[in-house]
Amino acid sequence: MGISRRQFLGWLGAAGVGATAASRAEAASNKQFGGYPDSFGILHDTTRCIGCRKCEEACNKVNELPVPEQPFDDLSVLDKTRRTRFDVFTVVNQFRKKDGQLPVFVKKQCNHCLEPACASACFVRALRKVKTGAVVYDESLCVGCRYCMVACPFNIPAYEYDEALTPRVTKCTMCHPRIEKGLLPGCVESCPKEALTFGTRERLVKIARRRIEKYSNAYIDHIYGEHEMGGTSWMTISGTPFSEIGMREDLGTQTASSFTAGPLSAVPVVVALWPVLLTGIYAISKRKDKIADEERIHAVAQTVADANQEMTVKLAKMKDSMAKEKEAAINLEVKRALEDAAKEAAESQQASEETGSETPKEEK
Amino acid sequence: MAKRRSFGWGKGIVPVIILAGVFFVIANVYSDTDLDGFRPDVLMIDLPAMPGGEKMPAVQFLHDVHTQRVQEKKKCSTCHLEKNQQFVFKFMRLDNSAIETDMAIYHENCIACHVKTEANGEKAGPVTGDCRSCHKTQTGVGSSWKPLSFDKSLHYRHESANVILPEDAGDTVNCSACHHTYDKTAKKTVYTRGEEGSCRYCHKKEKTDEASSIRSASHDACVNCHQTLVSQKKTAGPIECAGCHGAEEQAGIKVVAPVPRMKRNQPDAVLLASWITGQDTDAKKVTQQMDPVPFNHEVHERANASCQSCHHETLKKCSDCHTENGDQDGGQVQLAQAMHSRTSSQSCIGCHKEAQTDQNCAGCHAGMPDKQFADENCRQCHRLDRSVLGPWPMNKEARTELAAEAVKASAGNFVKPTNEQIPEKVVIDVLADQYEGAQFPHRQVFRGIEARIGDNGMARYFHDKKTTLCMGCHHNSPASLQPPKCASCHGETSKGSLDERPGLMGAYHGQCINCHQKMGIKDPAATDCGKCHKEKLSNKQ
Amino acid sequence: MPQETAQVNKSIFTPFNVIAGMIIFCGLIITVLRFTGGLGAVTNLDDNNPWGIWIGFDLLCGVALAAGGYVTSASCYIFGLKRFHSAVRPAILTAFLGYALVVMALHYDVGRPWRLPYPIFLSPGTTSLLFEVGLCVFLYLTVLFIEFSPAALEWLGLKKIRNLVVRLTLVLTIFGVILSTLHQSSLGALYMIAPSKLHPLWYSGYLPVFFFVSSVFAGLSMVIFEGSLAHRHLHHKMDETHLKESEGVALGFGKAAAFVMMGYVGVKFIGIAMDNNWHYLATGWGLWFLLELVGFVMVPSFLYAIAARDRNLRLVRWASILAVLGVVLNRLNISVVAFNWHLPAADRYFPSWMEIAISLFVVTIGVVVYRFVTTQMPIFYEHPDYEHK
Repeated sequence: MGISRRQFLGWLGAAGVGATAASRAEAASNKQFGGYPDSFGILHDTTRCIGCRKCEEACNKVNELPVPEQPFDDLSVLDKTRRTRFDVFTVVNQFRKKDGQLPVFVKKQCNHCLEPACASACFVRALRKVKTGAVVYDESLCVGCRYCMVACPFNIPAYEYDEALTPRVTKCTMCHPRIEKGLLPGCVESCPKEALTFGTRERLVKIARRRIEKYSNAYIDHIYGEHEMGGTSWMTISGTPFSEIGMREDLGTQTASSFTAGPLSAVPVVVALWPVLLTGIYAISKRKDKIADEERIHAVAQTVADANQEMTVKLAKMKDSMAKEKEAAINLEVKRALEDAAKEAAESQQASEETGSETPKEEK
Repeated sequence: MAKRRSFGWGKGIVPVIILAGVFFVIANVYSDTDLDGFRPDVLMIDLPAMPGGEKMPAVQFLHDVHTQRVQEKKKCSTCHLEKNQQFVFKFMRLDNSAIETDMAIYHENCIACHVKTEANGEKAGPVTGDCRSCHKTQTGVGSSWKPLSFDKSLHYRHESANVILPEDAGDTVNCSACHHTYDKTAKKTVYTRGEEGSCRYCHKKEKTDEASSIRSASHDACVNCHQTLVSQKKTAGPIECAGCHGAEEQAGIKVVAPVPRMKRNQPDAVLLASWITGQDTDAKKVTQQMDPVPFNHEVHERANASCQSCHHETLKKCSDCHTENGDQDGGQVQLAQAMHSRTSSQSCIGCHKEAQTDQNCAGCHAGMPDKQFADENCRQCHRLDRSVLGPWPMNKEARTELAAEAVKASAGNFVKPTNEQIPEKVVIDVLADQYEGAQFPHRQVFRGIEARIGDNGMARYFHDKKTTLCMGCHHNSPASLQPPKCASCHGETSKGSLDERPGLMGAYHGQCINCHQKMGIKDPAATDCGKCHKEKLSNKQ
Repeated sequence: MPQETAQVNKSIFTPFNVIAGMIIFCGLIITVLRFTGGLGAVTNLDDNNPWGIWIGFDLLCGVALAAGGYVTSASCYIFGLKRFHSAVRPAILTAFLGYALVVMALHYDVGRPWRLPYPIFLSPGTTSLLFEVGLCVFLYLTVLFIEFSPAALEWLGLKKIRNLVVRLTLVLTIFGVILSTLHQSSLGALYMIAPSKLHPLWYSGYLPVFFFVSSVFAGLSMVIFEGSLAHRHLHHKMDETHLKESEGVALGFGKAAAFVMMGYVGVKFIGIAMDNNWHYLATGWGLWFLLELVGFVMVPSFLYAIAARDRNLRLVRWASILAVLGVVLNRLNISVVAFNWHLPAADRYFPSWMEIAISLFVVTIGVVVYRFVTTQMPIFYEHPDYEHK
């Protein structure tokens, strides 16, 4: 590796700081957004709705949507439960009760949640909750990923699947431009039964509570949307249990964003800790390798040294013994030589004595 | 090269998974909890748990199936023992004893009979060893048992039946045949003339020290008597479960209408005021009291199915238990609450409120918010001024006479406005935009609502002023034959005002359409806009 | 581009080329349809089912199966297991191609693909996990490109740049692991925003953990699987080191995968226990869940373990196929099968043939490019000019 440790740590630090600056996700806490003060909402009273579809017609006109095949006064469409479509921002559905009582009609549209799942999910901030309480869509930013449609627990956003190059996500806008001008949303204005009441959300909650208390036999004691998914700007009261009129009662009161707050909060931690962890592992493993190498070298050296040592001792011994042998050999030879010489001397002496006297026997 | 070895392990796991799958499918498909049929004679034999805690599921016993089998033979005595010539409607015993003993009684007797029946070649129930055939939780049979309302008509039929004889042969009426009270000292039931009341005053849902449960009491009294008469070949009431408790059979019970009044010395009119007694009343304190109510007892008798509608615990007067300050006997319900509670069907106002839910009344009344106590019109009932009472002491007869007079005086109070006083047609065109003005047939609608009051005494009593009915639509304003126009109070579509008055369009549509819906008027349909106001031709494009 | 060999009867119309060519041709036509007629003309997506197999398979499975890149490079460079070195370049190539194709498939799915830079450069939606995914995939693709570039640079003969880039290997590897952890887990966390739509057995607060851990053994298994395919078809391109190490890679990765998969199974059961969802196991959905977990995770894990112990290369390869299928099944279950599970059957989603064709098209392009790169560039062998580092 050619980089220095200092350089490496420097790069990591910069990356970490950069990541924390980019991500402003809040850690999972009990902070919840209760809506902008004085933001608006709509109260839908299903006991008043007669299923005349005037609201659908008004919405269609106000938003300049294409005129549908079946006219709005054709009430046979109520026989099927409908959902919103790319060209239908709101629908009225009919729910028949048992024992021949009058059917219940329920208007369905974007609920303009206080902490919208769609806005939380949008990775390009094309959906935003604005001060009037509406959740508005900016088609100049939308990439068309449709994550908002996955996220919405009420299955509201629709998409222009047949548009090749400029597909948009569509949903009720709470007539945001109109309410900014002080007008009523199109549906609210057109409802002949005033099944829709427009006002600030706080007031609407009070109105709903009063209505339920005043007509205690007529309503289920629950304001749908007061707390569901953390609260919605569009609320509903009904005389029939909500689960029987197509409204899910199992959504809970946690906001959608609180579900993803946990994972999001883990991101900066990973960015901060992983480098430490991984570099640590790398360093440890490298160190391990290095030590293993050193140990190997050391072991080899040791072995060599030991072998040398042994060799030296052996050699010395050998030298010693060789020297001894040599000495012994020399001594032996000297001894032999001396003996030989002595013998020779003795012999020659004896010979000289014998030549002077008798003939010696010559031995050879 | 590594050695070759088959992965038999992998192959073996696949069948295991398949078997597990089959198991789950079977478990789901066959855990069927639907019921095949419903019968009124379903009895649950459910002994308490053994001392060690063991308990088998309750046994579902179909009583009528068994009575029909023993029809030709010894009848009730096959299963029920007699005491004092009356059957005890427990199984083969006079009273409950230890759990093991009772259990043995059931097992031995039931099974013995089943064995015998089967031996005779007939279909019989489970025998020894078929424990779970009796003790099962899912039998496929549900109970359609309906409680029997022993109403005035049934009571009259018993009262007037010659076959029902009084205890004392010389008695002209046969009340003593059924009615009794409990003498605590003598510890037995005795008959006291003039103290007959509903069985339920003493016989409650659960057995008490002084009385058996209403279930035991009614079966002991009714079924035994019916059984006796039937055995004497006389016409009598049902002896099988379904006869009283089956929906079909109940619908077939003969009804006497109109039922002659019960003879219990009840008053026709009563002066209601808790503070009036027969004794001296301090004249000064009278001025502190609430004005009394002249109460038409006779009309209320006729209007209710039984005395218990109001006299829910006893035939004594209400203030005996429901005192001004509240008493334990009255369940701590104070007198004012007992009379005026909007949620209790035994209180005056509560019962009247229930009556308003009738379809003939609901058009106006369903749209009215719940009244607070302070909104009630006290004078409607508290008609008599305290000043007319006296001189003290005022005895019961004098008071009753006063009440009777007041009741009579209020009889003809339902006055209808004349045609001149009611505009015939009203054109509502103040909001005309996409539609023409509505041609509202005002007089026709009013007369229609008036007709729905008909002979209903209560409705006539409470709508006793000419202007009262007008207030059904012309609400929240002083009563008048010329009420202010709706637009006086209903302006533009509201932007959420707290008193939540709808705007004028919502007010008109709400008033009309809600009334039609509540009264079940299908024509005009709520969505048929053109029926009430024609659509302007310029709109149709 | 076909390779020119000395063999006589090799024409351009090999079976592989013909079939690949047909798929690519079909794919191009459908591409035109998609960009002239919109998604509605080509897919079965609707307002209730906005995400189909282009997300479920191309994106989710693509990213999971391309995890071999970070896993292999981490094991070699961070954990110091040098005996896996020869597997790094093929794995990085697979990863790079995988991610590039994921981005390509994304261009089909997203409504206005030319706006894909918006969330990163123009208007970041930082509350969104999709932003997290997008940012990390964008960065990681860059990392992979750089990590892959030495092979191309060697092929092009640009020594100096190549040597410079090679020095970045460790940093890039660490960065790659960080980014992979983030985006693999974020893909799982995407579905956490919709608990009301995903079946309780698959929905869990631990979804990010499940996705990350499964990406580890998905990568390991893909390396084994692709290795076995490469051995069969690209054997002649492999040098001695590669051939010598390949058995060790397969068995070593198999052993590692066995461990990780058992850990995964444990965490899955903890996920069920946490929400007390045991009773769901006794339903039809429970059976499907158990099939995925037992049949496609526990079984291959077990097979891996046996294979590692017995040094059974054939079993390792079969186990890797099962494991890869298991990851694919898991991703499809979460995105398409158990998603919207409570909707009536008439409202459920099934891909159109054109969607399947495009997915096939994307995969085919991947295989074709892979084949080109491995036959031209020093992936399976070391370039003689550059010493082994």
